[in-house]
Amino acid sequence: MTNMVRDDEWKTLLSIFLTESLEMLDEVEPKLVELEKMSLGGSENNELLNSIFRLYHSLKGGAASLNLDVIRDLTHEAETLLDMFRSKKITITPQHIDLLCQACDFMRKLLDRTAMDFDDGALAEPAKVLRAQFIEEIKKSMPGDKKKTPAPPPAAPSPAPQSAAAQPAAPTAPAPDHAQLADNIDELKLDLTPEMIRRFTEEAEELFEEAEQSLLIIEKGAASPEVVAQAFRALHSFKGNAGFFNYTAFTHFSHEAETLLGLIRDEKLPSTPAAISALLAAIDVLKRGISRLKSEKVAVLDGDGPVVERLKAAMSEVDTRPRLGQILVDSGLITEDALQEALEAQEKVVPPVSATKAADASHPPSESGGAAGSQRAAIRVDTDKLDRLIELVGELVISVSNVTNCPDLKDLHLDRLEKAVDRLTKITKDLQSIAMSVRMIPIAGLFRKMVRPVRDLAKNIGKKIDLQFIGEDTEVDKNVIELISDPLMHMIRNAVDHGIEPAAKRKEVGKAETGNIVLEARHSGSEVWIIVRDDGRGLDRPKILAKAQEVGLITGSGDDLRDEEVFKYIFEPGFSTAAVVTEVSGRGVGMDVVKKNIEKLKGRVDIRSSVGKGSQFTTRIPLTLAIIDGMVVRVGKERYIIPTQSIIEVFRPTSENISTVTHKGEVVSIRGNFIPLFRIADLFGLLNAENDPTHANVMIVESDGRTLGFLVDEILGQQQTVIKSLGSAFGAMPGVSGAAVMPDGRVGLILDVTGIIKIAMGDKDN
Amino acid sequence: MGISSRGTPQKNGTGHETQAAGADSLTGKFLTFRLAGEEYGIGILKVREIIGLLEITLVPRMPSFVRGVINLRGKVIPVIDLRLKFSMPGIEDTKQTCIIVVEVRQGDLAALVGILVDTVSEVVNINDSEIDRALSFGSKVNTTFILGVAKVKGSVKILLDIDKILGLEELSSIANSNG
Repeated sequence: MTNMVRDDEWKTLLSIFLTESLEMLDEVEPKLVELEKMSLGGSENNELLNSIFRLYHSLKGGAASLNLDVIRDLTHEAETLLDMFRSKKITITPQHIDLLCQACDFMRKLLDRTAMDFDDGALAEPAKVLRAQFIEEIKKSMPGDKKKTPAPPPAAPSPAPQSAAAQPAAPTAPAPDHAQLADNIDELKLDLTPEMIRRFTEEAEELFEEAEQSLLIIEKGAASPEVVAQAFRALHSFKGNAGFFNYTAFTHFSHEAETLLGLIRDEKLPSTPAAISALLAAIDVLKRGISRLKSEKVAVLDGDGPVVERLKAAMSEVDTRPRLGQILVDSGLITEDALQEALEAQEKVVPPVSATKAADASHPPSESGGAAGSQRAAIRVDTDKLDRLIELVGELVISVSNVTNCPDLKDLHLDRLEKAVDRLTKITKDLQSIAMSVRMIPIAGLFRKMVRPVRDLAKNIGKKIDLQFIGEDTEVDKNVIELISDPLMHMIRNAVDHGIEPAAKRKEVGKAETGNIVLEARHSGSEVWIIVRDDGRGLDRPKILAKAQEVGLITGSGDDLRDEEVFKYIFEPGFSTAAVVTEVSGRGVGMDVVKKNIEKLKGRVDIRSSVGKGSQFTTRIPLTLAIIDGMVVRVGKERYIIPTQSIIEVFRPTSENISTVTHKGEVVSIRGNFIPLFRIADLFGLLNAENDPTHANVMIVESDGRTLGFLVDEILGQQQTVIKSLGSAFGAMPGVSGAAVMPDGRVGLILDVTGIIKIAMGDKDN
Repeated sequence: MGISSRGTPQKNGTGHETQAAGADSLTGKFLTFRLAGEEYGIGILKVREIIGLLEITLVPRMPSFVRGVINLRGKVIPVIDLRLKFSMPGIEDTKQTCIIVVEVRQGDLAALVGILVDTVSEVVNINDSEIDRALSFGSKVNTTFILGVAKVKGSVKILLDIDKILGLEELSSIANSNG
């Protein structure tokens, strides 16, 4: 490629570019789908089109700055096509959207490769093919128009990529004689590559930022001449750049502002609040102009008229109007001496006065200042660091409680210490909750990922489907989001494939042709619920029952089973593979996988459905994988945490409840049902545990569709604990899913109910 | 006793400094400790810290030499009873009983593991020339994890290769074989 050095800094930039690009691709896809929908419906949405355009454009910009030519060229074509949509030279067809989607897919591949190779050349050939398709589309619609042809005119004196690198210096340097340059600019104009424009806008934004900062300092009244000069220079540089690019609207307007600033700099004019706010308003106008230039490629200003008036008014103030003192002296009302005195006195008062005035006048600029601040509101942090932070905060909480509950302090009455400790405890709690929230991200990104597959699948099978989101802002632990992605995709695919009927069928039964799938997320206690709802044909209970009987899941007629229990059979592995399934219920493709994945997340899926009206799959998962809600139990001398989610109930049995089935173990009867009972102490080989069940507690747990009872000595309470892994030193430990640091600093083990059931069943078999 | 002195400040304690000192030289500092009347030593770079005995949580269905897990400032790490690991008779914990936290490494895997010893003695400099490597221990102890035997100031110290004793694969295979 170029002789650009792939140094560490470049690699850092590349990794930022890659992450951002992937995010952008995620963002652009749903928008493309929406665009398609709108264009099919005959409506227009320029805002949407612009935002898509911007995304491709940013991709291109990023790629160009890293000299990734293949990406740059591909995105350039995509951008050109989008631009033609915008200028209405082409009407959007589904083929176009397909092509753009393809470009997205390809870009992902390309980005992956780039991450490995540190270069995007590997897929240059397929990229060319894709580009050719774009160019074809572009040419198709506009045979004659040469100006807009994507390839630069042959006469271009400077080839695009190289000039890009050399560009930054160019706009600033010719500032002194930009007027002369402007004469030649018409010929040069054609050579303005988007890259150059990007440089220009970037630099302009920086200059505005600089000027604005300086102006705000001036406004506070604490400005040194240097600050004023700085603001002047910034505006002047911008004017120069704009002149070079022949953006006359920008040049003329910034000239006005510069003139005013020049007068202030030369102290021909005081820096009145009015003047400063006029200047700030001018910068706002210019900023808007630049952002229009970025999105629409036109250098125009709006709202500049009134601001020019204000600038002019500020300038004329000094030239025409005599000073108040002068008037007074002239008219003989006061003497020269008195005036001098008054002025001196005024000088002492002026700063506060101008400060309050400044506050009044600074409303618009402070808004834009706020916007600049919000850009920096988010930073990227390594998740390992976050995990470490959360770990440490958890440790801090425990240490604090160790100190506060220290036995040495117990009998002392230390009022002041107690107060201090209370405050410490509160702060630590706050700190903990903030640390926890740091990992939470909105689920919107995950939802957006579903748009494309739904569209593609629906298109393939010829259905019309409208996907809606509710509660996209719901925040969920990042790890949960990553793990839930696949199961959710499965469920949605199922809804599209089997849930929603074909359009014709829908018409027949009197539904709207377009099927609806709603994806909803919301918080409920310490869980997040992700709901997939469709208005399709619903699950067919009799057929599921028939199938369940066929594969031997149930023996009786199953009439006494509740709907939910019946629907759960679709999660059975045997259920999903057979072709019948599709016919049976319309659900089943990989549903057992869905269930497994969700159970890994310590979550569960509930199904509700009614025939002909649709079904609803509610996935309930803990808000975070880092914390678990558990019940602390004691067995012998050991304490264990059992996830509350698996616990159905806890009670102390009477001797009538417990019976021993010969050679099979114990069972506990609860409301007429017999449930196998296992003693944790026996399973774990613990000594000192309570032998008599009537002095212990039975905990009924459910997992994997099995219900059984555990015998534990005592229930110590309920608590939220931070889950820690047992470390790489141990492999998978049956029956134990992790560890937690208990309030007294010791380690407590978190039991894995499914694993224990397996142990229990295995032991019984032996 | 409850001494908790920070073990080594050196970070990259990947190998013994033996490697640093030459192809096969074992010369370097060793932390020595006592186990059933014998002196043992481990390369100091392996040692992260020494902590007094604290309450150990039993992990079910583990071999007896796995005493359980402890909370090391928020990290949960396993603790191995070295006596039981070496098939020596176990004893009641005393005030001298210590946990030496070592970093066990195998390939790219690294983990902190605590080893329970009768008492920690000292840090000694041992020269390669003082180490006898071709020593047979008879049948009582498997010698693959013994680097050699050193005679320092008249006393005998058995130098251990901690990575071999507490092989991660071994640990995880213990866990799995119980499943």
